[in-house]
Amino acid sequence: MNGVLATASLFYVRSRVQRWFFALALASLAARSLFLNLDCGCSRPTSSWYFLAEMVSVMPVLGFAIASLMSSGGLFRTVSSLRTVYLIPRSRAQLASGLLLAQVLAAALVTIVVVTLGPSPARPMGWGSVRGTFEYVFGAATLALVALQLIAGPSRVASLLAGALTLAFLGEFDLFMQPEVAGLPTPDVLALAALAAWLAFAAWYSNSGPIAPVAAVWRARRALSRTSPSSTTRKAAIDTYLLGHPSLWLACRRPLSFWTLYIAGFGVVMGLRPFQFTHMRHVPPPDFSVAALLAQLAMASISNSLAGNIARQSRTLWLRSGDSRRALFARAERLAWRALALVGVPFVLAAAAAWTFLPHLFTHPVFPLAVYLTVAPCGLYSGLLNFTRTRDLPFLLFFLIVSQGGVIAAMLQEDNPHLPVGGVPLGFWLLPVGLALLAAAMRRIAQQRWRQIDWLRYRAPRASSLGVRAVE
Amino acid sequence: MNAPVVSTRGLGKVLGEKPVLRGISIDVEPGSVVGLLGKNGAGKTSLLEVLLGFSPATSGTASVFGADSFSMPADVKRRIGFVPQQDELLELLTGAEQLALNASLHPHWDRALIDRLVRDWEVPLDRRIQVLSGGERQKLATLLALGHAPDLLVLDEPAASLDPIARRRLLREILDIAESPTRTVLFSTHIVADLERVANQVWILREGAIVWQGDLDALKESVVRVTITAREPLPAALGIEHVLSQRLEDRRAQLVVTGWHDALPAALEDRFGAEVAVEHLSLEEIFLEMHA
Repeated sequence: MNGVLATASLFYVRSRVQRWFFALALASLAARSLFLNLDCGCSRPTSSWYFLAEMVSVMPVLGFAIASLMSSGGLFRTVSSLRTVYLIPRSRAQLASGLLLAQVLAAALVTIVVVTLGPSPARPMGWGSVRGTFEYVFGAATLALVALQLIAGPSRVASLLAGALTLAFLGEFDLFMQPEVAGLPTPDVLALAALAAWLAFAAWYSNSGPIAPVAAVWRARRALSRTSPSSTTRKAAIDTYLLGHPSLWLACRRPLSFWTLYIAGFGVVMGLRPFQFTHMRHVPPPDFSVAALLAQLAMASISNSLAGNIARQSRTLWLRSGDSRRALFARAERLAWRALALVGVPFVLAAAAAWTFLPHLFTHPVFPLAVYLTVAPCGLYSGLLNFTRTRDLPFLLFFLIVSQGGVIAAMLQEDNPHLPVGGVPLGFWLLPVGLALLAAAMRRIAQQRWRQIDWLRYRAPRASSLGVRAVE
Repeated sequence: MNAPVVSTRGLGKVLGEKPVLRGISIDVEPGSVVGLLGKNGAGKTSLLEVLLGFSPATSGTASVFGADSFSMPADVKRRIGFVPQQDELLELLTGAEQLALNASLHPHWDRALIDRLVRDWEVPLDRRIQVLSGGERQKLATLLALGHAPDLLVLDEPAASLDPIARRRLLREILDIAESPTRTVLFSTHIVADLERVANQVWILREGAIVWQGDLDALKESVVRVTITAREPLPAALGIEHVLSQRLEDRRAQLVVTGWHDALPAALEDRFGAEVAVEHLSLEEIFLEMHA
């Protein structure tokens, strides 16, 4: 039983990212509850501030759900791949039971929150009722997790598509909106489908042989080059060491393909909207605004992870390149900017094409573009400050807040000729200006930190596999 | 007298709250082969990383070829070859690509030496590094440090993943390097036999402090096991200095002492009216006694 409980904890509160999001989600729900009880007139459903508060309070909860499901999918797979776990009798049965128990516990918690804070149920078995809410959440979470186990499946393209579609559907899922409105099946059907999926997964999982870890499946299989060059230039060699890859394009390829598929998945879901809502009287038109916004947003995330990689690789050049710490920073910064340009240009062009040729509800792309163009350098310098092997959590949170701010600002825009460029009030433009100033300040901090880097403190963990950390 | 290749004075390092190096003062002469011995967590890697400028010292000073370690200029770094404990190879490259990459970073690259070592050590260059075994990776990492013929070669547990044949070949190479009077080797290990085979100087590190530094033969001569067999019961306090360990059983005492000299047996015989037997220890026994 202890093994089952320990596995269940893996899904929502095991890693630091999960706990951060969990705390943030709880705080936002508490703030929402407080806000709705205020007697200021702004808590009326007709107020635009009410709409804004609804959006802001739901975002961290969605962020928690997405981050937890994604990271726990990987963690579960990694633990499953450990040989030490494989050799424990009945370990697979315990892990599969833990997966189910975690979803039951999560659904129970969400049900309590929704029944306490959410809307009244429209139907006896609808969203907001105890049974309906529990079955919706349990069904959605279990189906998502079983689908995510495909990440370590035999085909990387299929895995990526499954992950992208799961993420996209999760992005569509609104905790306080009635799922039946969003086109989801009835709660009983969803819960039964989830149970059937889990049973099929558990039967396969308990009887399968050793499972490959996620990293092994994601490892590039093609040879990078058929020939072994006898020489290369000094600059190319330094760039290769900094990137950990023989070319900038190869270093960018994985995050680029992930984001491209994610955006494509989102685009597919958005494009299918008219079919999804056929049971409703008013069928919403297809809307590709969010996919276009995501395309602009991707460059900040990618530049952050690439710059973090560059910062961690810098140690390898301390003796080899002969550069001082200051010169190394200058090299790293230049390379990170090149990476940002490489990923930024195609994404901005793709977003521009989406705004031009695809149907969208938001009228002005300029303001969110300005926000995302200024948040990207923040991501870059935050990455250059991240010498540890863990994810850049502060930036991840900052990124989510700013990106959601950009989305919300875009949603509040109106096609009003009296408003200045961008369809937003002038005060809104302080956000990109502030972000640009923040990037400049972060650059200064990064320069100073690099002059004192202690690589001994930032050494890679002796066992680099996620699995070892997962079971520590 | 030649200027020391590596020199430290009162070197200390604190990581978080924990002191990992304490008051280390050492000099390494050119042409030495220094073996750094210590159990896991003694501070061997920390000491090497501070010496090579990867990490700033919390107190004291460290210099290499006369330059401050933390801000070594390029011409000093070029004279150093380093094999870290965890290799820093690029997983996606082949061995040949990794060697070519390193060669392009150095103005002089001894291709003939590397080609010979690749053959002798049987390093597969056509496979990606991510599929190489631990020993093959270690050999490749060592090749990367040797190609530019460094004046100071620093190896952090270089033989940990090697099979006995590969270990012997690596040590032979270190001995070849050591034949040059201007080239210096500094390596850490916990394999005592390796150290005995190649080092002429030894530093023994315990809890971040150096408890012995100097000539290997001098260490072996100065640390002995003394067995005292008396006719009367021996006192609990024998009053002998520099005792590493002591076992006392009524009329018999067995001690391991440092700073041994020839006059000591006679002095002990006179003091306790006892027979004194002296036994020299192997380096491994000395190391174990120092950590007892």
